[in-house]
Amino acid sequence: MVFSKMLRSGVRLTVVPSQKFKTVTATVNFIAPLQVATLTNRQLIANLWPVANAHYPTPRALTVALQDLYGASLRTGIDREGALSIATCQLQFLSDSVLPAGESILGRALALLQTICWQPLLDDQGYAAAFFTPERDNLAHELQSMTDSAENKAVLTAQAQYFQDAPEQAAVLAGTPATVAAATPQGLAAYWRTMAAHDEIEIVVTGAVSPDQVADLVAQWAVPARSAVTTPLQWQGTVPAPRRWQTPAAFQQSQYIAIYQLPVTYYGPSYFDYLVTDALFGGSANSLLFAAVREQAGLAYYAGTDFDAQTGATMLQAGIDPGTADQVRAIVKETLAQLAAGDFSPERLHSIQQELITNRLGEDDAQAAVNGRFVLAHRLPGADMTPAAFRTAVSAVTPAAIQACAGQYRLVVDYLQEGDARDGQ
Amino acid sequence: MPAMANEFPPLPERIHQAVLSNGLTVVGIEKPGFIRHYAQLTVFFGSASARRLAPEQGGAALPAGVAHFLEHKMFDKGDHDAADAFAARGADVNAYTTRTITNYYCSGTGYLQENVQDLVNFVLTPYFTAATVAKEQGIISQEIQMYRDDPDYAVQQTLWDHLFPDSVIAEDVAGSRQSIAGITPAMLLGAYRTFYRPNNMQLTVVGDFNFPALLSQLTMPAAAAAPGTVPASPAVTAPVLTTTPLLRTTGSLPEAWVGVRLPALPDPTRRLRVSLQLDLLLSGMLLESAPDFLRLYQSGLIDDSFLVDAELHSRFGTLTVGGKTSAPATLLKTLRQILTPAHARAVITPAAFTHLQRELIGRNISGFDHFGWLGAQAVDAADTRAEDRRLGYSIPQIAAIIAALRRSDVLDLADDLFDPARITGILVSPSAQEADA
Repeated sequence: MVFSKMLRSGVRLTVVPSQKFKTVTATVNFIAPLQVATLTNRQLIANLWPVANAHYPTPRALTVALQDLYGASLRTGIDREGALSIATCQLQFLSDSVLPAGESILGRALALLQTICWQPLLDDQGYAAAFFTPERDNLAHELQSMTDSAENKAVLTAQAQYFQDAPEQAAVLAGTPATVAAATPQGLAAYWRTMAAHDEIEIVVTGAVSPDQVADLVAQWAVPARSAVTTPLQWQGTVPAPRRWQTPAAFQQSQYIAIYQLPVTYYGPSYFDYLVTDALFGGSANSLLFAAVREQAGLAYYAGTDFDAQTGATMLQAGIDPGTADQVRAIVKETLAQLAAGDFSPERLHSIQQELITNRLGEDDAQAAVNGRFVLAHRLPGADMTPAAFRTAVSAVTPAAIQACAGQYRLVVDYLQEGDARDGQ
Repeated sequence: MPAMANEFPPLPERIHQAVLSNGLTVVGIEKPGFIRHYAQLTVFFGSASARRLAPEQGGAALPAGVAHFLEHKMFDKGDHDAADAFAARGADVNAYTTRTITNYYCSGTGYLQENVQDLVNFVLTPYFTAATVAKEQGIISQEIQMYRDDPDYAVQQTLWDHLFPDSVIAEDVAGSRQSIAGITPAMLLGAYRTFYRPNNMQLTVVGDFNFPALLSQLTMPAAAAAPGTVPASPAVTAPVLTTTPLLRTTGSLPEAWVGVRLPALPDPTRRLRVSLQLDLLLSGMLLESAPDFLRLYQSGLIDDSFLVDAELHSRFGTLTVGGKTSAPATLLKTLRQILTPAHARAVITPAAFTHLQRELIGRNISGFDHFGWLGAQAVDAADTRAEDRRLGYSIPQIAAIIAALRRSDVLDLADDLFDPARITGILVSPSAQEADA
């Protein structure tokens, strides 16, 4: 039975008890509106959580604390969920139920998580340079080498075109070269104080625990009340006029990227129709596009779509031989026309629906997936579905609904990064 | 002191194994309460396996990439794709090839018996035609090009070339466009009958199920290859190339890498012990929790791209360490200084060893929640010297083995492994500029 309680305004605890896991996963989620100006700071704070702590002034001390908890695993990071930025600090540790008789680490582990999140090592100059500088340099290296990969380079170029009026969506999560260069120890400390005071907090704990015991422990955390973030999760910006272009690149393969705008919102009225339509189009190894481009034409090792209802778009991506883009474009166009005409078998549609249902059911076996689902479900009541309700919604999508959705795909970005087809040696 | 493994309550997982009459080893790992199930059918045939057909198949030489090509073609059944039946039940099915194995796996919710049966059916039923082989050559050529466009590819390949000169172990798993161009249906069938023998396979099933019931309903397809002797993989003979080349790549940042050739460990129990000792050694010396990692990171010599990767197999092993750096020559020199027995003694203090041991016990118990980890343990535990691929040790006993390890075991391992004659290095420059002195 899921336990959920507002500890204070803007601070919620959710506990999902389950006896089947060997570990307890406790996650603190910091939620704020997504802004390009704060991307780098949020990434730096997440990267500094494991190393710059006032209670453990050397990273070694924190490491030993984690080792003493039987190798508790600390993971920190940033996610983009539509128009929101979510910074997560997650500690996974052995459940008391698998420890030697009489031993308990639950209380110590949750206290450690609180210390990691809320006690960064700051002085008058902000974050200490010994910790700040390598993390900032690391982000600079990450941005510098991002386009060494043919796929990344093409995707980032296409996204920059599609989100030209929304740099917070176009940028990578580390930010931009300008925001990385502008980061300072003092500025980061100031941002941390803002984040600690104003970000909405969602704490999710899964595993073999007593909700009451976890609630008692977490209630002791010194996390003040704050306002809820009112920014809707759904990104609703404008997109540019359609553009088709190509650029040469010194890679062996060509990369074809198409981004379509879709009239859909995350768990909105037509969400399940588009979810199934896009999986049938290109979002599955069992999709029509994968079958046509790879299995029938043998034109690509990979061709598929990535559906993002939170921004109302899907991105098609295929690594192809130079000189074959027009063939691939023709197949893509024909595949969409097939969908719009209802030219697909009931068996394939059934397979796609079953795949989506299986993926949803299987999430309950992964503690990290459970955390993510509850964070979103609390913001969108429509997303708070039981597995049975999800199954019903997916199964209810009809061929007619798919035909209607396929007719709504609006091609906004048609980009070819043309490789030079050197020999494969 | 860490709690000893025998102080922990017994894990509830029941692990079964059986060897069928055709030689196929079946391993069952029960996971009560889990909704998803996972099954893998592992063929102990990879790119570094013997490159020759069995004598009764003609004994001809095989080109690079044939194991990977076979993996692709096993899904093609002429009038349908093997994945179709899984898809109809909402299950995933896929495969990958490494230097030592080809692993076919599926995952789903419900229909466990059907999914496992279809996995066995399609891997044990060959179907190759000239037309479909030709089409696959195009798809795999795309895959090879995709890998070649990865900026890390040239670096890693050079490391393998230096660690295993003139050996099939170094060759790319997918082969090259030239090597796969000569593959024919007859060659694939010969390779299939040579290596896809049931006694050279292991079926592992993980989930909430009843093992005896699964076995009682499992049938073997008529087209399955006959059991028999599988050609032995080649041994490594040429010494490591210890010179340090300067590699020019299209990447945007310099890099430095060290490679260590690790010993061949055919005995699975010995391999497990060395693997655990190596885990403790590397955790104490170079992984994120190690003082040296923190020192290098804070000095700006390494960044998040820093990678430590070790593989231990029956016929070869490797350790690669390195990443992007602003000072490649300095990083290379520093890594060579760290990877020494004397440094291991200085870093793995008795107190540090206790912490590392406690950490490894916990990580091992956590692994039982992860189906992929359990599948990998089953493969690692197989004894490829034997007639079949049954487990050479009990997986739930790993925690007890960790608890019994001593610091001196780990330091002795450092003495064995960190021999300069086994170590090579690479400097990577994105331009024609000289690396730092």
